[in-house]
Amino acid sequence: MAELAWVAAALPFFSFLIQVFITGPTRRRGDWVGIIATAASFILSIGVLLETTAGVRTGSSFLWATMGDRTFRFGYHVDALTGVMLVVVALVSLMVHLFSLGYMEGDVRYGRYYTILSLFTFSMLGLLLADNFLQLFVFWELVGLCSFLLIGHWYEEKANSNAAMKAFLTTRVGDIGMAIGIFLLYSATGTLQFEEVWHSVSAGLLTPATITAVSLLLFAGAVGKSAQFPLHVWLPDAMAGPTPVSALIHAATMVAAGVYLVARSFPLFSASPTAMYWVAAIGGFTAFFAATIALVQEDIKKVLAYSTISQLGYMFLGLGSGSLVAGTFHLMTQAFFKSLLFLASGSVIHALHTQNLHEMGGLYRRMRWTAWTWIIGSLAMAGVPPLSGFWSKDEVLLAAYHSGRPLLFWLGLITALLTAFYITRATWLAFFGRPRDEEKFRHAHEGDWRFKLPLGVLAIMAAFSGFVGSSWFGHPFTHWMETTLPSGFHLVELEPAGIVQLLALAAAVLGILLGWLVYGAGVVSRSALIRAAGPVYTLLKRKYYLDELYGWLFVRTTVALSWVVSVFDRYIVDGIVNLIAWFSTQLSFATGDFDRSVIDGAVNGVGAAFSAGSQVLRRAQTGYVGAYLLVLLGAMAAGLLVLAFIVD
Amino acid sequence: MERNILVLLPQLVLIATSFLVLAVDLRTGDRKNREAELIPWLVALLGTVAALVTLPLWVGQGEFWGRMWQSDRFSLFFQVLVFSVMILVLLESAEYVRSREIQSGVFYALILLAGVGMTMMASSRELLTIYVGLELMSVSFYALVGMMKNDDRSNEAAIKYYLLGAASSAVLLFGISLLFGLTGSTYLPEISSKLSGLQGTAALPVAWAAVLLLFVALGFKVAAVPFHMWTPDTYQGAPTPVTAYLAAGSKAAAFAALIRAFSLGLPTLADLWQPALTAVAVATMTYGNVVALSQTDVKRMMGYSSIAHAGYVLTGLAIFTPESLSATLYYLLAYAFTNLGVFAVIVLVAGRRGNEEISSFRGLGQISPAYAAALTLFFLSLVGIPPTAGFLGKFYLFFAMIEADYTWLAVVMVINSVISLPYYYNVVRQMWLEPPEEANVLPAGTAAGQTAATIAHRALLGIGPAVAVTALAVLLLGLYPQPFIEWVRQVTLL
Repeated sequence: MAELAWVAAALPFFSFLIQVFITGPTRRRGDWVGIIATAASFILSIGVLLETTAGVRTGSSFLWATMGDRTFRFGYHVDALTGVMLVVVALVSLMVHLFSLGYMEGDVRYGRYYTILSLFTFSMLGLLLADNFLQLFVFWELVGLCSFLLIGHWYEEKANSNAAMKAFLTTRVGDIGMAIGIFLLYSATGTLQFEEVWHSVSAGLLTPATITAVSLLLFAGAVGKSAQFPLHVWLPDAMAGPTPVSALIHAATMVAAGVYLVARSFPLFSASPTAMYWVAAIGGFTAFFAATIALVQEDIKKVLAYSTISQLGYMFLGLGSGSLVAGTFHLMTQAFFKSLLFLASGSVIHALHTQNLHEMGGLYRRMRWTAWTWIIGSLAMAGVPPLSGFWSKDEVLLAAYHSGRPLLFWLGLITALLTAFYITRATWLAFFGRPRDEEKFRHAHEGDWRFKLPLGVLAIMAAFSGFVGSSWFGHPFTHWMETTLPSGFHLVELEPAGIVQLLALAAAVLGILLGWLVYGAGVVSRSALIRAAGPVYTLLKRKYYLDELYGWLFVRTTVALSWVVSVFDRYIVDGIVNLIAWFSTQLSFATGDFDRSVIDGAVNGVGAAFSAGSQVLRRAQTGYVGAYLLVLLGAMAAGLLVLAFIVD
Repeated sequence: MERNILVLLPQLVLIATSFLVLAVDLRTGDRKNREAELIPWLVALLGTVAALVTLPLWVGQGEFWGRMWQSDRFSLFFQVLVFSVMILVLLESAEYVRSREIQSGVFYALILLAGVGMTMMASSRELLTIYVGLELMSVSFYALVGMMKNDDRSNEAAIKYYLLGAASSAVLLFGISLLFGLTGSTYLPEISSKLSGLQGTAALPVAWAAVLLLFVALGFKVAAVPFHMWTPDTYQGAPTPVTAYLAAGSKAAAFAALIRAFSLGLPTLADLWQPALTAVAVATMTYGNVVALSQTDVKRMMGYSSIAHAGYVLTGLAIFTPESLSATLYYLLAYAFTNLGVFAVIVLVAGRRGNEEISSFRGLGQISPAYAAALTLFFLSLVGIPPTAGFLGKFYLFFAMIEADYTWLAVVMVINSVISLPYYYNVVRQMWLEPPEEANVLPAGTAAGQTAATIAHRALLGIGPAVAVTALAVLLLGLYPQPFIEWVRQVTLL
């Protein structure tokens, strides 16, 4: 089965082609084509997972291009990490396909939506199967493109298409780093195949400085894709897309690609303590930073968006603290509980037609299924045992605890508290208390099976998937990851620490309790809290003013520069010509008769030539040819002058 | 030294066709019959296809006609490229020429003659032949650019291009004469061997000056900064198929001449021109990309884009290794097809909407998704995003840079491709993420709508295939590059 892993990626691609060329033009619905293809991919992925977790590692590739005496290959590689990721992506994608049946029903661009969904599933699976950096980069760009198209799905609203642009451009900033990192890696090792690169690393063919530089540059790409500080600004805006898309792309899969990149390149990263430190630091800081913003969001999807940024930060914290298991394990559980939360919020949005938490309330009475699945998801995220998030968060904190960076450990712990608090807040505002918008509340209703089935399946995964990494069952996940590492690399076995587990549990319980006290019991008034927080509240509300800062710093300055230069091209050159003419005229007045007649003669001659020319040109209303010519000849003269100096 | 008429067969076919086109136009020109107007076009198209078909008769490597004509894989490569470009340009022209009331006979004859000039530039190792080829190409273009006689912009573009082009020709001749004065030859291999004897003498600075003059003149044709200033005006004002021809054909031919002259005639001075070319390349790509950001006219934007791409291609010559020259040729191939695709869609959209503002692409994704998808693909290729021709072209250049220890240049180029992203994506966004303007939506179903659709359908006769062919080429060059890489590698084994 593992040899057929590439078929899992090929199926959605065929589904994409069918929808473009067959069902698309005939305006028939291609949704079930996508669903069947994704379901088949999922079944295949299960098979791959079962084999790879038993220790099978396989792959194959064909020659793609020969340049000089180097070859570049295209192929696939599967091991347990790939297996886990394939299952996660295929399952979430399948659930999102099903959920969208109801959620997107009657949409103006229904067909296009499913077509891009298939393309995305193909690209994401292709990314996971890549056996070299080049191929990974190719799919990396493709998923970005799909994300761009889906964020802007409802482009009638200007803000949505702006969000799509912003997402694409911001992630590209990180991609510059990634591309440079790949070049550097290539120039250092002469190959881009994963296996060969790891071999060069373990054989000590790379200098520590090179390893650090390459790792940090690759990490820049991950920071962009996984929305880490300071490139996180695009993800909250990306919520402009349809909610199932947010669940698939902007919670579970594409944004986790950055984490996957670091996990896949773990042999490289772990060889550089500096790189590992930065991965952990950026991750830990982002986790905390985004969690604080999530505290004050009114939009249910924005809460989840910042929460995603924060959870992705956790994964980097785990990886950077030296634990491959912690990072990838949390990646898996987060994919399930976060896509669950997004789909549940989608169910709410579908019923109420609002995303504002302050217009919800009391929905538990109307939407039992949605409410219960949401609660399972939120408890999993808050880290309540024995749900999945508890185990993986524990693993992350344990890694941070052992890494000897107490500050990052405490940041992680506080984040756990904040996480429990803000998700309790959202839960209470949405599902409990009095309905704050009676009109909307009255229309609220539970969806049909198309809503319930995906929620149910994901709730099961959110609840139980953590057991694969739990001590109760002997940490099977750790053993899986052990098999993915090339020979010469070993996983660091983390000593279980009771204190960590205790603190994590305390943070979760305390967070939930505080959330309930404020929003549930009303012991502390919300408005009093806001008043007490004062400027801090405003700062959080404005997301630390980073959007404004970037707007000024990058967007406006670039556009202004481009405009100025373009004006230069059109007009300033002309001004220079006039200036020179004026200058020489002045000069001719200042000099004697002889000079005057000579220079005037020359000037007049030039003038006559120009005016003769302008007779021709007048209808074309231009005077700039002379200017262009001047630049051409001027540049030539300058070159000659430089040459003259060189000769001297 | 052989006199072989076969070696000139493609060019002779083109020249004969151009006369035929003019003659046919005289016969059919008076009649205001729309079908008859297509006859000169058809003749030109068949003639170009015939020229392409004669290429397998290739006589093999060698020099002919008193060393004036060089037949080798390099010239063969550029003939294939130029003839393909011409066919695509002709496909894009039919409807444009007809609807703008351009004199079709003259227009097509000039396109053919310009093609003769381009292939001539690539098929000689003798500077004067290259010069004559360049003039034949340029003079044809001066007239082609100004073909829309009632359009002020077209006139303006033609006059600017003509005046500046004339000056650059003078500079080129001056450079050639300096080289002739130094070496007593205009034959590149001889120039090279004589120049190597000049090392360390007082005459060397004169050779440097000659290099500079040659670069100024050819740099003008490829639109390198600071000799680029004609580009935006000319691109904007020229008839759109001519703009496409300028960008894909003229630029490639000028690069052919540049590569021949510098790698064959002036390699002994490489220490001097390599850093200079590198600097110019960096300035060119950065300048083009930055200024393109603020453009609102799509043809003007493509003008700046073509400046930026001239910078990318120049890097290949600046690095001057066998791999980098192969990469240069690959890039030219990728760029030509991508650009022709872009302009094909521009012709189509402008034909429908009447202007070339970027905003006129609004909602194209809804009106004709296939063309919008194709244009998106072309733009991805121009930015260098996989899996397109442009990505592989850039990747090949990066590879050559890294192998030659020019990694910093690869970094500059990556940053540049990101700078270029917003302006291409602005158009992509207009197409996919903006609703169409009301006036542009054809009232489908109604009788009038049906007629409109039929007309649109007819209009697509030439453009549709052009878009399909270029899109396939862009994908093929990106997905299955191996045979093409083999090809360009053989070409540069000069």
